[in-house]
Amino acid sequence: MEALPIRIGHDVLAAIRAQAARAYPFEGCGALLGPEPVRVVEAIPIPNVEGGSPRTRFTVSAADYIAAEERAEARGLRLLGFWHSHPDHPARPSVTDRAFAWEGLLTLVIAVRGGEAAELTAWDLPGPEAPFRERRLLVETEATAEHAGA
Amino acid sequence: MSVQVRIPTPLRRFTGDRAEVAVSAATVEGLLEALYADCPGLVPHLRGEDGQLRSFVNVYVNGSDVRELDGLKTAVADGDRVMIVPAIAGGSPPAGPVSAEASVTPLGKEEIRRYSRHLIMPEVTIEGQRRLKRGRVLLIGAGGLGSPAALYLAAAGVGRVGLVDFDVVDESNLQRQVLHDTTWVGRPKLESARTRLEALNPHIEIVTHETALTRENALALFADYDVVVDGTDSFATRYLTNDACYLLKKPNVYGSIYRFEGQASVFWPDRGPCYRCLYPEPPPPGLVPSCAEGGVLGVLPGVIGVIQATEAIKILLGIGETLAGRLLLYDALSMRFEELRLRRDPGCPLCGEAPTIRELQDYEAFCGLGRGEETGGTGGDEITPRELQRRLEAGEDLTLVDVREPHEWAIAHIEGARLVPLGTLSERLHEFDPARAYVVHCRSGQRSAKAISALRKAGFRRLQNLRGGILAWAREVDPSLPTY
Repeated sequence: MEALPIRIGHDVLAAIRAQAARAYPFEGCGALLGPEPVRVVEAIPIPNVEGGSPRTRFTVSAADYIAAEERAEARGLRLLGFWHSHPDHPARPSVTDRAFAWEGLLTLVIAVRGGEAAELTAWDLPGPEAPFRERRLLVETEATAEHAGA
Repeated sequence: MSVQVRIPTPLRRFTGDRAEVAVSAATVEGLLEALYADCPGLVPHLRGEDGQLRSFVNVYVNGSDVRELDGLKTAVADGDRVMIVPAIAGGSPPAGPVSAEASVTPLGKEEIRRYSRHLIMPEVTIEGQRRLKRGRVLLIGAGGLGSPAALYLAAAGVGRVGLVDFDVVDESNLQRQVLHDTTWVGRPKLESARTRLEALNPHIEIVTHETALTRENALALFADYDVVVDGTDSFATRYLTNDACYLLKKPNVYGSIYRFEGQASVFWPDRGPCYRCLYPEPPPPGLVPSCAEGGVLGVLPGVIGVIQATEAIKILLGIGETLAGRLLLYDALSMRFEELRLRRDPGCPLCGEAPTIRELQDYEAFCGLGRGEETGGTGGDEITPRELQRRLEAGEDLTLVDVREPHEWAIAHIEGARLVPLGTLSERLHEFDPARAYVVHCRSGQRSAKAISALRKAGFRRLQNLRGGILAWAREVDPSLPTY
C-alpha cells in the first residue's frame, strides 16, 4: 500500500524555496511543523551551524532543535521533520542524509542550482534500518487547504 | 528524586506519545536506565553497542550537553531540565574522506582545553576538531618521516594514528627518528612509538601493525584509514603504497629524503596524478643509494615529515590547497623550496585512460629486487667474514680492497685493507694485478658488488665480495669496530 501523500501549504513551499535560495551557495535548513504527520503548515528557518563544510553539510544546533519543538507545542502542532537544500546537487537524499535520518521525522530535500530554487522531494524511513522511501507531495493552495480542513 | 525527561518527537512512539517522562535518578546514567526500564523501545535508539550514548543522540541537562559535563556520570537533581535531543544533520554527496558521523563526534572538557588553539580558528573550530577526531591516518614506517608526522598528528588530535613497521630501534636511528629515544635501542619501534604517542595524547587511538607491508595485506590495512602517509625508504613499498591507495581511492601523502634534499606531494586519486605518473619505472636497484648508504641530514626528515602531517590534517579538515598535482622540492643546503606542476599521465598504467593495473603486483620483481640483490647480479663469489678472517690469519696471499669513501674509512676500516673508492676505480685499474686474489668490501655489500662487476669487465677473475661488508665484519669478527 502506498503511503499517504504529504500535503504542504503553497506559502510554506514558497518560504522554503526563498530561504534555500538565500542560503546558496551554502546549505539551508529548517523545521517542518503540522497538525498531523501528513500535513505541513509551517516551515521555521534555522541557521546552518555546520562549521566544517557548509556547502555540502548542514547541522541543526541542539538549541534550535529544542526551540522548534517548543514552538510546535506552543502552536498546538507537531514537529514533523526538517528540510535542507542541496546546492548544485539533485534533490535526492545523500548517504549522509540517510546516516542522520530519524524514523518518525520527514526529510525534505530541495535542489538549488546557481542560486535558483529547483525541485523538492520528500522522504521518510519506513523502518530503522530501511532505506529512504519517497513520499508524494501535494501542494495546497489556500482554497484547497480550507477545503481539506473542512 | 524525580526528574522530568523531555522526549523528542521521533521517540515519542516509544513513550506512549508522552512528551515528558518522570524518572528517579541521581545521574544521567541512572536516569537512562530508569527510562529504559519504563520504555524499553528506546534502548536501540539511545544506547550504542558500547553501552555509551549513541553518537546521533545528545542529552542536555539544563541546557548543557552532558558530553561537555561529566558524561553519563553527570549528576541530576530534582527540578533539573533534562532533554534528549536527536542530532539533525545531513548534506549533499560526501565532500571528503571523513565519515558522516564527524559532526556528532563529541569532544570532552579536557579535549576542548587541549585543542583550544585549534578551536578558536574559524578554519578549524569545534567542528573541524571533531573531524580530526573521526580521522584515521596510517603511517607507513615509524622512522625518519614517520616520527615527526606521528608526533604532530597525535598532538593535533587525529583520532586514530596507525603505524606499519617491523624494525627495532637502532642507535643510528636516533639522529633523526625523534619518536624514539636512547632507552629504546634494541627494542621494537612500534612499542616505542606507542609509548611516546599515548603519553603525548591519551585521547586518541594508536594502532600498531608490526608487519612488512605486502601485496597480501596492503588493501586490508589501508581500508580502515582515511589517509595514508608514505614514509618508506624502499621503492617496492612506495609503488605498493601508491597502487593500493589508488585502488582504494585514498589520498597518499608522499615524502622522500636523501642527504640534504627532500620531496613531498599528495597523490590523490581523481584529483591529481599518482606516483607512477611521476616515476613510471623504478631506478635500477643500487643506482639510487638509500639513506643508509648515502646518509641524510638528521633534521631533513623533520621538515618533510611535518609537511606530510600538515597535508594529512588539511585533507581531514577539508581546508586549503593540498599538494595534489604539485611536487614540492626542498634543498636544505641552499635553503630553497621549489615547486613542479605534476600532470596526470594519460598513459599511466594505473590511473591513465587505459589502465592495465587493476590489482596489486609483484613489487619486488618490478623493482628488480629479490634474487641477486646483495651481489648486484654479478653472480660472483662471496666470502663470509669468518672465512676471510681464517684466510687472513692463515697468511693467504690476497688483497682486501675497501671501495667506500675516505670519510667512511675514517670511521672504521679493516686492518690491512686498501682504500679504492668506487668512483675512482676505473682510473686505478692499473693498480690491480690479474694474477692476484682480491676480496672487495664496502659498508654492506652493494657497492663492492658493483666494483666486482666493473673489475670483471676489465678482465679480472680472482674476485670475491665480502658478504655484508664491514658491518658484518664488525658483527662477526671484530666487535670493537664502530658501525654506522
